[in-house]
Amino acid sequence: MPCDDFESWLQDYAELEGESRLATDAHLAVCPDCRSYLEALAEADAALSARFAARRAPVGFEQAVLRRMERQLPLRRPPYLPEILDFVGWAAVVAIAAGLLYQLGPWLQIGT
Amino acid sequence: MEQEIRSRLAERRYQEAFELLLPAYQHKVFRLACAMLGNEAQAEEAAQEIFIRIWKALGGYRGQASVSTWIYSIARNTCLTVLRRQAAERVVSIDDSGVRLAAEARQVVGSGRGTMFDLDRLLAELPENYRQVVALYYMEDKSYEEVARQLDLPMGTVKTYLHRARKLLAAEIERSKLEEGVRENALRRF
Repeated sequence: MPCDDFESWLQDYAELEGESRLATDAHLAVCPDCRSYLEALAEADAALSARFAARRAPVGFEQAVLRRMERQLPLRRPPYLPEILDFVGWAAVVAIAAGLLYQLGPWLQIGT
Repeated sequence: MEQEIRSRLAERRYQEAFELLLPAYQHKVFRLACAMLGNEAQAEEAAQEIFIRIWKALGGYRGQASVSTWIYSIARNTCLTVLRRQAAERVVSIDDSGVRLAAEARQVVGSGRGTMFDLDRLLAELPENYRQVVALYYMEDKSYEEVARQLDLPMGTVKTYLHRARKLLAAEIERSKLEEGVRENALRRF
């Protein structure tokens, strides 16, 4: 087990600079437990990097997503539906207004 | 990329937005799923489901959070759902082929002095939140910021979990070396 005073510095050993690095190096020269701990940390770091680094989605992932969407979402809502509904709404308003004008036209012809 | 996706979403051009975000986020979403689920095959399945959920939710994106934050939130919730379902269904049998395969595929790592330690066993013995942080940290090029963002954890928490996990792993590695040394000494006496 490492010395408590140096455990945190040993964890961050690669990033240590200045006084903290000098103090840690001086301690490592005389403490076999901390040297062993630092070595174990380095081994863990190397093993974890080898285990997890460069992980990427498998080749063909995008196509797999798109195929899955086709299977699961056959009646996919078209993204322009809100615009269609807006158009239908406004068309209805215009049609109603035109109908009212047509019906009320004779009553509105003032002075003729 | 973030801004391009946001502008298309604001204009309700969902198809175009999805065609941008799928390639942009596929690897990060996959890595996050790997870290949370601990299994590549399950992560691939979950990652596909995550993008289906993203597509369905595009119309509800209001821009309060960044696109990446929003995507990672959907990804985490989907993975948590998978984990909860697995916990409810889990019946481990001695004949379970998945258990045998996992045991056969265990990564046993050799150190420079010939000491072997079972990395997968050590990772499996870590608390779940420590394991997720460790896995994602090494997948994301040792970026505390990226881990904090994807797992929605404070930076300090990420560093603490990582330090504790590495301390546990280092202690196990040292113990393995000690046992190896004891075994070698015993063999030499013969």
